[in-house]
Amino acid sequence: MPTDDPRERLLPSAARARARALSGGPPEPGDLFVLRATADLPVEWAILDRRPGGELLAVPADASPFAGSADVEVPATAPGGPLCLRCRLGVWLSPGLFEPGLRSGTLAPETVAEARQQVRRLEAGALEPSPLAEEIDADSEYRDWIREVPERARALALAARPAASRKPHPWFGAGYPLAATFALLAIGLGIWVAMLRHEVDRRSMPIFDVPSRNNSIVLGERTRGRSVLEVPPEASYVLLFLFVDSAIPPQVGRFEILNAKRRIVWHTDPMPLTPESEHWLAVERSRLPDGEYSIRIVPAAGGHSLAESKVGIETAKELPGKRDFSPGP
Amino acid sequence: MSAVRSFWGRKKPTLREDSHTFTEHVFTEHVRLLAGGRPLDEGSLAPLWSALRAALRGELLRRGLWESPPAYLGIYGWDTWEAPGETGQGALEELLFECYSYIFVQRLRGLQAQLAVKPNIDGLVFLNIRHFLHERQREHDPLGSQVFEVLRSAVRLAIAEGTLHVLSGDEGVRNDTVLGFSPEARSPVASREEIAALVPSWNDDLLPDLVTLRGQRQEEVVRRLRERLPDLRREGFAAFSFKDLIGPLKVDVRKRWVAILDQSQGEAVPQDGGEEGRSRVRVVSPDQQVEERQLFRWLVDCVLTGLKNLDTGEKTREYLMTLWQFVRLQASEGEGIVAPDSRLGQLLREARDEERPSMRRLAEQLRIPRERLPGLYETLGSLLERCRAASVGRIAVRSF
Repeated sequence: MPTDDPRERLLPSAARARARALSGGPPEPGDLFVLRATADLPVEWAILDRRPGGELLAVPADASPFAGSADVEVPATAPGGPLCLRCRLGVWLSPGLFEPGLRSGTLAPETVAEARQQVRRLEAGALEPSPLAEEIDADSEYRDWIREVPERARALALAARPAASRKPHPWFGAGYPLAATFALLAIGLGIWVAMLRHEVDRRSMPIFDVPSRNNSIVLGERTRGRSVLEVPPEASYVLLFLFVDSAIPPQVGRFEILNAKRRIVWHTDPMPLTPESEHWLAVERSRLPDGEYSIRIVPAAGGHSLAESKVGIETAKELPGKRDFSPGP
Repeated sequence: MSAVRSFWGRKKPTLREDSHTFTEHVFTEHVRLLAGGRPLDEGSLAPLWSALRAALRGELLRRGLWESPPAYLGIYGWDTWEAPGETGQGALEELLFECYSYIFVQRLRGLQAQLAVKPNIDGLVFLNIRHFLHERQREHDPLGSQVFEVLRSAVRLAIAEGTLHVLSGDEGVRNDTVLGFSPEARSPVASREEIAALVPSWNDDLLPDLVTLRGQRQEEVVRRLRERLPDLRREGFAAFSFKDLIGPLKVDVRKRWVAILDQSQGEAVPQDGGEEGRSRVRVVSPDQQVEERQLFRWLVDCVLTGLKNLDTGEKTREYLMTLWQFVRLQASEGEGIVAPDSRLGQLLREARDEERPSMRRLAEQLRIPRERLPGLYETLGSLLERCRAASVGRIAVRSF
């Protein structure tokens, strides 16, 4: 029976969090974690559910003051608060991503229940937003925040799945029709570009992602021609995995993406380039409309590009391999 | 450029204030200190305090709030942010204490969590300063926040359509953004005074929708304001700064709105209509403020939901929505000794109890037939009472 005394309700959760942090036990629903994969973003992850097979339903959580219709607000006085759980961006993740040493807190059971309920409502399209939440939904600051932080975090967490690899694997031809297409296409001089198809549906549920073992495509070194990346119509991000070839000497340089008119549409700041280093990029779909692109590495000191690859981006006509990742009851 | 990128992309977190130079990662070091559970002494706090003050002042300047009354951020009893010739006291110091609590007390767990995966969390503290100010501005200056939101959305819409171009400054459209009607033409630039002469005609058409249309319906007024932007080109200007546009627009809206807000309360109309000082002080504990804000939001939401489901004609619903948004603003803008949630009921009662000549002006501004106002106030009063009854017990449970 719930007690009316907030302190009594806080203590068990806080004590549980401390005990669990010390014990280093496995991640469980109700836990908050930070992930190395999303360390560049101001987010934690709230685990809401576990399903057979061990995968965990997690939602990005952040301390921004905006709470829209799909979010669950955890007040400052509640365990783990103040936080906003971005329930529209829930995703099933491997438990291996959650390092016991990076457990950062615990949510109250009623918060977890509320968030799971919210995910189900979103799944069923049965969300009845309050007028104030709708005001937040329409707020440009809120939209910017969701796009730039939790949506990017979701994309990065998906990309960080343990199964991801840059080397060809036996499963390469097993199940994903586009994989074979990509394999035949050529790309790259000094960069290997592996492209993951992703979508982050900002409009509504169902949440879905394609497991990395089925969708990571590795394109061979020093092949010729161009690649075509088919992006689902709902995608708001495209994930690119760039691998710096061993032939490129260590130096400071930057990555650039150019459109068909050779205009730079995206670039990094100058950064140390290390041979065989890997870089994940989540680029907004709005920056990469359908068309032809070049991805290259340019030395910071100037001069010719060190490596350049061509890729075409097209909206996919259908979504092969789409799976329903709706949480269980 | 986004908030996150601009903060997380900072290369040099070193801050300078007066003659002091602060060590790098001063905020990070403070969180480490707090995590260690060691007592804080003056020596360890001084650099943190100076760095936080400098960061807060910088953000106030960036948001154009430095010249505004501290009341716009819920700091009452001061006309300016810094008292001349005095250090360690004043509105900025009050805000500083609240900012410290917001970041290093309420959000300490989250900061410590981030320290586990990154060596430097100063960027996160800067981000929290922005959140802190944004939240307070929305709470205490809903009028200014709403005008900013609508104008920014209208400008971004024009940029997306290709009729406006960012010439310099933040591409996300902030005060430092300079905009032009073509990517090349940079002059003549409209001055603030020239824009100020133009915007009253815009507000003749846009008010009250500019401040009362919210949620999905906000897009209507965003489009209408976006259609006004080419007026600047027709006046012969090739470029303008967002700051010089938002300033006069806000001042004109405040001038008109404050006039009806105060008239409806039977008070004198301020002559300057803009950044007038405020003097009443309401002293409550922070916890009490949190509960009041929570109750206020809940009541506003409850009445809005009630209006959505009310069995009435669409025109009447529209009038009720407009009037409720007005009462909501009236209650938020006031900083008197009555809490905002109580002010809602007080304002509705006063409006029903008395026949004021100012009602005519109110009806004109809100574009509601004068004779409908008493009945509309009556309906809102009933809805509010029902919501208040439903809120008993609910808020306390929701808090935890």
